[in-house]
Amino acid sequence: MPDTSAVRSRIKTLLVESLHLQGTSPSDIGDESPLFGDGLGLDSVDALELMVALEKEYGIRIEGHQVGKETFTSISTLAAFVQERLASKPS
Amino acid sequence: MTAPSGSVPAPSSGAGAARPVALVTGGSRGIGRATVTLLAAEGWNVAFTWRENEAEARALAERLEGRAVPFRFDLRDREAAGRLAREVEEKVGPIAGLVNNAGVRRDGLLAALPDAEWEDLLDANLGGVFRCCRAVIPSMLYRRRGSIVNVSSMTAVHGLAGQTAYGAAKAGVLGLTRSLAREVGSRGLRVNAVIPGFVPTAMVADVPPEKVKALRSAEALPAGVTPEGVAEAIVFLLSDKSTSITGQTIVIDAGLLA
Repeated sequence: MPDTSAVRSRIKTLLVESLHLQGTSPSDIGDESPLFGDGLGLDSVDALELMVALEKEYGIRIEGHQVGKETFTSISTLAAFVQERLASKPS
Repeated sequence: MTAPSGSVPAPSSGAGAARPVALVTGGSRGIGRATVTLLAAEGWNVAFTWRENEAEARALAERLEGRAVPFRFDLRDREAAGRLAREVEEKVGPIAGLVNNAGVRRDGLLAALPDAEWEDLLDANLGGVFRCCRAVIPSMLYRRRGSIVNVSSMTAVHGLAGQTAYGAAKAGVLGLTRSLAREVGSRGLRVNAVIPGFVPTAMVADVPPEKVKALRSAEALPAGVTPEGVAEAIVFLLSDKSTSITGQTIVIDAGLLA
């Protein structure tokens, strides 16, 4: 399983690529900076798009209506969620 | 001219061109079957669902020679829509079009309608549409490509005795359509509805002849509405011929409401 820093770094890249964030590079995004509102300014539709990107990247299944908003607080909460799913993934 | 990013490309049947994939619920009979047939002819690969009519579904798939794949599906099963979307994506391809056509119609006077009947009709006809939309939208958003057509009913806008539950659900479909169009429009996805008039299909085979006659007497066009006529409007809304249309409802009623 990839380590925490690898997952965080990959999620930053996915975020920039799949959400077509103009003028933002993955290194601009802090592990704890808020993704919604005053942080990166994502909206709930962005969160859905990002979920699909994570499913494809990690081969995990995420049902949108089963994921709490707190999962999308920051890169570190998202990475923890992905690692939890990877750990419970049937091999 | 570049097509808007969320549009479904004009389907092409030319060699090598990827055919976009549409999912049609309730595709084995009536309006659904006409829609599946027209989509296949217009260059789409179609996944369609059936619940009771396996023989008809298989016959349709055979007739369309690989351009349409049947899937068993029950609108009321809470887990089924997500499962269906995943299976279609695996076996047929990424879903670019969704037609929520499946429905359940049973009539009964409100004063005598049991709670269970009310809940079942709402859940099948409105909840089923909600769950199918929810199942396909994340992938459509990710690909920034997709069009959804919800099949409502005349009873959503023109009251019919005995159809309070069915009519409420079908009116709900129109509200869902408009709000969902606003939710996903920023990513180029489109959501529209159609209201078929009186279409002679198995779904309305139990309507008494005198009631049919009374309904049809208000039509401006004597030929009435055919399943193929409704399918034409659905396929139009699904295709990139309607890229500027979202949140709308097209009434295909041979002029009944004119």
